[in-house]
Amino acid sequence: MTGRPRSVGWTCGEATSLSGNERLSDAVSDLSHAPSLSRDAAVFGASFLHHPEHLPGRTGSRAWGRCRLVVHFAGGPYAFVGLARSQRDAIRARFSDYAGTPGTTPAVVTRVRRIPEAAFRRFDLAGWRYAMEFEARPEWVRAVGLTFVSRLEVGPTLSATLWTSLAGEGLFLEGIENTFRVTAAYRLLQLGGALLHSAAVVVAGRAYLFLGPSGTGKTTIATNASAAGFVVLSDDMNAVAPSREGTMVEKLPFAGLLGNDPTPAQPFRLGGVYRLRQAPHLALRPVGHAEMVGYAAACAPYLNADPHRTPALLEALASLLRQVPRGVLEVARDTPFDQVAALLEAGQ
Amino acid sequence: MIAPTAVLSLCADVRYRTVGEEMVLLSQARGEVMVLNPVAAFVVAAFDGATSLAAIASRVAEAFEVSAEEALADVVTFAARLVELSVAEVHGTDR
Repeated sequence: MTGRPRSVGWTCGEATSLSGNERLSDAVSDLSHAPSLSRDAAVFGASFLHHPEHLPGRTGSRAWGRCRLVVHFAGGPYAFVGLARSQRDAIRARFSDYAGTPGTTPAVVTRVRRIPEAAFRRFDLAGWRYAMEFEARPEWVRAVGLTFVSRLEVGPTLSATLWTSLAGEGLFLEGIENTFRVTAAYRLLQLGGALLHSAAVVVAGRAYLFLGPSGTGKTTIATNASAAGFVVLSDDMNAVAPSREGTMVEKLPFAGLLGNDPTPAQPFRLGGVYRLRQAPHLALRPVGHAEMVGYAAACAPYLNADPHRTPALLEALASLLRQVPRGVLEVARDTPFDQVAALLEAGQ
Repeated sequence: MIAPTAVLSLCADVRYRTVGEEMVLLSQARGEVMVLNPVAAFVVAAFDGATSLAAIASRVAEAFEVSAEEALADVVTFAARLVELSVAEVHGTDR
């Protein structure tokens, strides 16, 4: 063992309330604080690859097989080509609730290619939270993890390549899911939407998004909601996108601690966006448009670390969150979700 | 302490967008998102690499109806904080 990948990533932090009358020296509201995704490794890929300078290029390695699979969720359909049968079966089993219709034109095609297992360094991950490396350029973004390298070509259309050393076993799906997350984030931005670290709960037909850093209660509120009979979309990542009916929220197959609930994959109209804050008593505090855009930006993985797409991300968030109810939801861990739902509905 | 003659520009990794009268600002090297109030947004929008803090303070005094002395003190203090946060950097001096 030669080392361990460092845990990196964006998180949302506490914000201070800003009114227009503060002195300039108090004017900065620091919404998040975390190391960037790209500054840890001197050479991109060095955390995971023995020879990062040999990162696979856009083409030049063999496909695993001839199988193809289409998966459909927000921003999709998403197609994988060049799969071995065992890889196809693993993806199909993992995303069984999101089977795409064969023959439909995919929004994004991901080519699956081989990379030798020996290319990757080995780690003892016991007790570690693993985070991949991510790098963005104007024309592409790429990621490296324990057993995969991926690259997404970012242009008028998106296309991806995933190099994996695994035929479908073990951590194969880790590469698939990470590639999927990045692809979905960029695809949603293309559509004027965003992928947000959040919990989403459906109340009276509308989806309510709860944003917050780890430990502020996303999974707790989702668990409480589920226990009270409410539909939980995901307690980890949700898609937000504009539509003719308004801003919509859609479940993504990236559940957090709550696991993958067999909940509907249909889009729900956004009922409101709330920053979670642990507090002894249930309360809803107002938050301005800019501050909520800042919160959401801190919860928009990959894109908030991509200087080439950040302006578009902020533009999309400003538009998506312009006219929706928003606030800071102060809630105790044991607050029954019925009470939360009543408060949110009263705010409509 | 930054001199009133200092000229600032935003660091290369910083991206921002004005939302209403406020500003959402991302410092990607630090992994931070900030929201600036209208006065701070006004100041940062003037970090064009050519205008001195003193000149910016004059504009602040006029736009927000505060005294020139108070505006200058606040602008310099605020600018120093942004430099400390690696959001802005001293680009040069207006002589």
